[in-house]
Amino acid sequence: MSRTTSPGRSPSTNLWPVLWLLARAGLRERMQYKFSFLASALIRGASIAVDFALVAVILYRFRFVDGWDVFEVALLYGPASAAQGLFRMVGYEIEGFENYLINGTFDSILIRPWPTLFTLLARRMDFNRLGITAQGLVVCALGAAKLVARGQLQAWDLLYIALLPLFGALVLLAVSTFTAALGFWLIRIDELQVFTLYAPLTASYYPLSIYPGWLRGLLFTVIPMAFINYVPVLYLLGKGGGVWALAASPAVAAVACALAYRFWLFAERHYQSTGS
Amino acid sequence: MEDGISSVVSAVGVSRHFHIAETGRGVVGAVRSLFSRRGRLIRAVDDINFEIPAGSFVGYIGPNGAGKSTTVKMLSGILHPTAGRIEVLGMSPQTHRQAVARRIGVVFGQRTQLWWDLPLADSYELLAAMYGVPPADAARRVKRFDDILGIGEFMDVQVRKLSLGQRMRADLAAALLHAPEVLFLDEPTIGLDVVAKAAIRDFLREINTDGATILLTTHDMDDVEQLCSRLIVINHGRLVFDGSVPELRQRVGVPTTMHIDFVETPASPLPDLNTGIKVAGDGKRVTVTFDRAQTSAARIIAAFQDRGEIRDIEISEPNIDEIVRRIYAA
Repeated sequence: MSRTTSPGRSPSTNLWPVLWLLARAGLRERMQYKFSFLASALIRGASIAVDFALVAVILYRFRFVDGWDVFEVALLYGPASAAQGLFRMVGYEIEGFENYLINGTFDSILIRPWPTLFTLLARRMDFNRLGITAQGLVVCALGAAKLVARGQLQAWDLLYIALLPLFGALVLLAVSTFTAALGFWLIRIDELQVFTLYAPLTASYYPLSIYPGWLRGLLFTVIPMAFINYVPVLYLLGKGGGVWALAASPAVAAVACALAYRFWLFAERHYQSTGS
Repeated sequence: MEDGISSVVSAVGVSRHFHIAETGRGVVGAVRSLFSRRGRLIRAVDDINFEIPAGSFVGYIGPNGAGKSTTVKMLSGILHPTAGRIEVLGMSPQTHRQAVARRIGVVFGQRTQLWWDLPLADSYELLAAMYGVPPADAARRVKRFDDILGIGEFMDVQVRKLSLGQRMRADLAAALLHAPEVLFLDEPTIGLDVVAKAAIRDFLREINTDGATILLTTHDMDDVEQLCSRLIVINHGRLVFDGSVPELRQRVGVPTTMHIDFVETPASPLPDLNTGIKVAGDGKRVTVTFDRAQTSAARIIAAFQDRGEIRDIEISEPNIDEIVRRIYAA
């Protein structure tokens, strides 16, 4: 009886070995289809490269977008794209969270002795999406090489730029988690994600100064895409802002993640499940 | 719990209501429903009370839509009750979800908890890690599950390639890998053949003998009669019976239905059997409703043998809907 009445805290099991095991399982799961793994990683990378081709075409036509040339814009596009790949690798299940709500499969997440968001993310890592990251890094490297050669960037700026995809992925994860959490009430969230995640992400491929004030306001606050590339790159290229801009990116990423997680914890109590 | 009874699961005045938005017909109706708060209130579970002592094997039955799954989902921390209090192992499965999850096992017959694209063995490896089960313990338990459930033969097969019976056995083993003290099983025998059902029943009996408390929802009266020492019946979200199987039998009987098809319409009158046995004739078919605890099927067939040549006999197992109907009638 004494054993059954002690109100509990879960005994702590070490998180990282489990995460590692789950990540390996995800990779194995993908490897069940070896050809399609490689093919789809390549295709994803290539199809996203078309994105940048479009950006480049526009730049080729106009030479400059609001004072940014193609190499400078590559420094916006590259980190954002690399961040997208990282986010979509880790956040595969969050992206498709609607399925969990429609089928009621969130049940099986709730019966596990872990925070739900962790169990959910650990359900699958989609390593295919690294193709997008690779493509983003290539674009980033091409732009950076030219800018270093022109003396616009210092070599050690590159260290910081290499970290940007990480901060960006966290911002994307936060926005996506927040949107997914709305699903506990709305159920259907796939279309909503286009508005909250993909459209703002695409907007971040260009210097934000080209957008009307209200949209910029949105991208600086509620959906803080400004911080995944624009704010720090603006400073690094000497186009504006202060050294604070470099701290702003990780800070915004951390705050966004914390807020999104808080909201998730609140929202999950409204889960309705489905009939059996 | 306060009075010292060692109940491991308790529900006090538990209700769960759902608000179903009313969607009007056509586009106009659908748009209108977006802005209206109108709708119906469904009382999926309505003011239910029970205490389950440690080591019990409880059958939780009722017709479709009675609220069985909703109850199990509340007990396992998936849904929050609209009203009332639930305790599992002395904790609220809602506020201490993770702590409770570590000590209970849950199986939903309709869907799997396993990793779909991975070999079965990998799911066990992952679950052992998630629940902090030392590899040696996990291996020992899997070995034991294999002895009873025969899961070893498809350990290297991807879960999506398993048959329903195999998958169900695998899911049960998965839910027990962390040696839970309490098991909630939602229709674990649904859609299974006789052999698979028997294997699962043997297994559950053994787990219960080892001390696990089990609550099982089912449609199959055989499950209940063979396994459960206690029976809770719910209908329309309300508890309508709570007692042992003999008590249920005494109160309303546990009816088995037998259809006997004759080659020719049988000679009347039909044999007069004991009280409690209903006989109804309809042309070439005679339907007999009886309680297996009182009369054997063989005795009934014997009583009809001289009424003509029998072409076919069909016995349908006790029907939960019929039991519920009788409870209301009693």
